Amino acid sequence: MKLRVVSWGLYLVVGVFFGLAAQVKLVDPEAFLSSMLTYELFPYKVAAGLALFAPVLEALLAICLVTGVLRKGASFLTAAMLLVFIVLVLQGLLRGLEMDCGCFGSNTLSSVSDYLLKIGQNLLLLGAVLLARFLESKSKAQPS
Amino acid sequence: MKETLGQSVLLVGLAAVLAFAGYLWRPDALPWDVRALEIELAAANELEEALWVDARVEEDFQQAHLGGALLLNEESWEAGFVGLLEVWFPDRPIVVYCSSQSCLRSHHVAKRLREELGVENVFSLKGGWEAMLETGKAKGGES
Repeated sequence: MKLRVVSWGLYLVVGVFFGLAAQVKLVDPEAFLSSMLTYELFPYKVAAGLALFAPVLEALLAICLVTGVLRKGASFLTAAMLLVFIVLVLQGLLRGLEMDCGCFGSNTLSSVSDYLLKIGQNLLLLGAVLLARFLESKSKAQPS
Repeated sequence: MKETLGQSVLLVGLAAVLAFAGYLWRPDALPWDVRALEIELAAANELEEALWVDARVEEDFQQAHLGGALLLNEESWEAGFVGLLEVWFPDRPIVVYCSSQSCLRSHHVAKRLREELGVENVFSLKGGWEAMLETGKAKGGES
């Protein structure tokens, strides 16, 4: 029971993060598109498509993580998205770009510490979702 | 694992459908024809008597701008547009710039100018202010 509560708490934290991030992008998709163009990775139309798709996926994942519906898939995709975010930020750091990650609205990354902070935040969320998944499966394996 | 992948595919598919529905609902939420308005800096430099328009925020304009450029952005459209009409004449090309390749402000201003002036030779500068700094066309202050 205790494991299940801790696991749900972790899902709640990650879900709220994803929900807030999605809400900002859904309200102003153009600002998110503008941020994605600072990554200097995607052709314009691909970035525009992602600016429409990614926030919707984030919102769905947030709902699924918190409610428990399709949670296995949601936690897998959440971890995958966080890994992608980490790689995207890391490439910006290595290429010396001044990026706006667009994670929660305008969020300029200009110094190494900005980049490391953002990578650290994503690593924490990744750790939280993996731990939540582990605790959830462990609690199910335990006899009630 | 099979269940996890199945659910993942379902969620991605659902997100794609919802995103497409969102696009159909608000097709103008994102500018899709940005490239059609763009002009390279080299080509812009070749335009005769081009009128340069700075679409950045006023604070950035006050810090530094291209010599002779007019401030015209969505925030202070009326004032900027009146100023533009004083120096613009039909057939005079207009080049609009904003801060960098990632900003979309110049696109909006160029598109609106095309609509309000009823002309086609209004362009959004590819690379914006950053490109002008890199090539030496603009310097930190008014140039």
